Amino acid sequence: MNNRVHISDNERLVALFGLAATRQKSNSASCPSDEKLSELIDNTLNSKQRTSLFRHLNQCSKCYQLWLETTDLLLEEKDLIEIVNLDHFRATAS
Amino acid sequence: MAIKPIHIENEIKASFNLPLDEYDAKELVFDQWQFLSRLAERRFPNDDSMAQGALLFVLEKLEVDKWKRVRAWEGQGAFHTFLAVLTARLMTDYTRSKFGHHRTPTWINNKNDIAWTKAYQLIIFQNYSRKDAIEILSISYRGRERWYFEEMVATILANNNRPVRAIESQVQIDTIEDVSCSFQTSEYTEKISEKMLLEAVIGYLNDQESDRSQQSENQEIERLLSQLSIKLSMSEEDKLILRMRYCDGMSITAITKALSLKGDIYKRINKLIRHLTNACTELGVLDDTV
Ligand SMILES: [Zn+2]
Repeated sequence: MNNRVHISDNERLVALFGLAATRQKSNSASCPSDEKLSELIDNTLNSKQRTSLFRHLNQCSKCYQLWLETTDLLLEEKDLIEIVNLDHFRATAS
Repeated sequence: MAIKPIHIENEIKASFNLPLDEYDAKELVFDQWQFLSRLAERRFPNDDSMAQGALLFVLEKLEVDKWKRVRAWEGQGAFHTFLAVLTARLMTDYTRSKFGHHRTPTWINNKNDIAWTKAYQLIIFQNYSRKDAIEILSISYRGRERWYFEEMVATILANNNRPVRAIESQVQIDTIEDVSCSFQTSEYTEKISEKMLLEAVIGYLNDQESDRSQQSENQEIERLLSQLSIKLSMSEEDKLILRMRYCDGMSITAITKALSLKGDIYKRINKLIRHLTNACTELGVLDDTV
């Protein structure tokens, strides 16, 4: 495990213990729509909506994994679009 | 994580009447064909035919009921990102269906994390070596750290050497011992019995609180967890950060982007870990020499 530079067993232990201790046991909210998840990914929700969706993701493994999978897929896409935006900005500025 | 220039998204919203009809839905999807291809290639970087198969599968499923899934877009969020969520969902279905869901063991399916299914397929069905499987997984899931896949592959190989019956009958144990939330007990963790930790993790990860609380031997851990919860103060965002980092091996960069975080995330995580360590130490579940 020589790549585990930043994570020790002990860090992981307390993190997991803390997550288990603070987990909300009931999940009353229904799963968000795909569009709502996309708004979370684009960071266009207000803080109340954001917190409420975060709460759901912390309680619902299926939504959490879908959200995680989408953000992973879009990771490099974001860099690509930031470059496009920058070019657009430069073109507009010049 | 805005992924499409706003002016283009505004053009999309201005050019189409909502709700979308089937023709507009189809046009919008085909406008994004290159984007969809990139997503499929990113998920299957080692295998053109899987990437092509995934792309066709996504298209086929989107087309069902006159593009019903696409017509569900209400114009609240960016179409591009909405389509990415649909695609992620469908590519997950595709990966599961590719070698037959029933052929993947329950303990893998129970994880809900498609990366595990993919790892299992690479090693068991496609006979990739340990090294190549780790390489492919690291390239496929760029948001995650390499050590996460090293542990994942090691876990799959270890479990695969057991008789099938043993694996199926030990679903719970295997689920707990998984990479998502397992670690090797070290000298630092002597004060917490392995069992206690495992129980804590299973309750967190697998929505099995009821099973957990039904077992009298779990009362001690229930008591400790509830005492710990009183001492802890963490926001929903804090909890997500910890879960992404410690259960799913996400890199700091990926976490920062996914949650659109500002500031020094290393510092924030370190502060959280200190807070948790102090609380655990006060409760006597951690050796205070840690
Ligand atoms: Zn959900």
